Amino acid sequence: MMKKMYLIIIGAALIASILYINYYPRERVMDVSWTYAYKDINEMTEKADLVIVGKAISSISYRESADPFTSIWTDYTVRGDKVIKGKVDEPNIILHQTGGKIGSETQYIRDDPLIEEGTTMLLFLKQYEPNKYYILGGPQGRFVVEQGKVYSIGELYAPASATTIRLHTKGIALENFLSNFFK
Amino acid sequence: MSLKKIPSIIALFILSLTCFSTIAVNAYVLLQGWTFSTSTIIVLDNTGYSETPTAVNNWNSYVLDARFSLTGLPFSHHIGMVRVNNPGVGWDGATTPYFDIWGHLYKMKIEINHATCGTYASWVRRSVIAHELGHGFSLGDQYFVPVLMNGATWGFNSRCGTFGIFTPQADDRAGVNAAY
Repeated sequence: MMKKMYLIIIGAALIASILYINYYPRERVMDVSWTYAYKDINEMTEKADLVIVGKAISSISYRESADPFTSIWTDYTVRGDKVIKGKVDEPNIILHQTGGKIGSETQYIRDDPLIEEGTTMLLFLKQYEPNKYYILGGPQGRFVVEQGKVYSIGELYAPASATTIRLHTKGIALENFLSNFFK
Repeated sequence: MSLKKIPSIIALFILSLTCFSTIAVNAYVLLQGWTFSTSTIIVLDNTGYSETPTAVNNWNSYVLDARFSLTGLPFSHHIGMVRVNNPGVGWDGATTPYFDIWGHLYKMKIEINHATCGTYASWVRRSVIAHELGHGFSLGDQYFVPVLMNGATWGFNSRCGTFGIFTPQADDRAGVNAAY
């Protein structure tokens, strides 16, 4: 009787350990070398294929293979509410970001936090495939619009403050921001 | 004020300047928990870039408290380097650490993005690789300053575009010695 109980306890502990090892919450923070550091918003505007105000309405995270050592990517569907520069062929664009969330695993770049669904953003984008874009300079080309006011990512998320210091924007009304930089 | 006090005031002023400049020199950033338990970090290179051994040698040419050792064996390495080809990102190199369930670092992966690095001159590619290896030593990014750990390759006050850096600078080396 006792022997049976010991076996049950050991078995349960073994199963719990395996489940824990496989499903414990993992957060992987990456560090990257950004291709380009923008001097100011004017330079970023010049280099962007598309500048829009849009809202992330949905997202899908994936990795290229089942290998757990491959990176996670996320494609966001962004509804373009206002096109400031460039031209879009469809009402929604696909925005590609490094990192994402799959099950209990989260991966993101230290100074480029994952985009949250429902966030309205002012985005400076580069096209790499038809209707597919990435943000210029990671956190540099992404501004959050909250209650009609524009904030650079570094203003809302401390680890990005050094990266976005040249693009510092804090609570400027969207209309004023646009009239300053897009005359 | 007595004239006798002037030399003391000047001396104090110079001393304070010296102190501040010392702080400014040691500007390296260390990433918490990114230090391996060994000071010989074994690197497996699968990028296919001829610049990787040179970048490793650039670090190893200095007498530091930690060093890299290149291996050809696909096991028992600390850092695995791979080539990726992703045109949909704004980075040319990335480093990801892997921790065990107790929070100990056991592996790092360095990805070199061929979509961007493939278009670079050899010395720039070497700069990206050496920069990512710097993360392997637990050094964090800095911006707009003339160090290898400058987090931008091109653009305003950038590692290659402005400063032309592809080898570890004094501040980078001080960071490694502080970490190990």
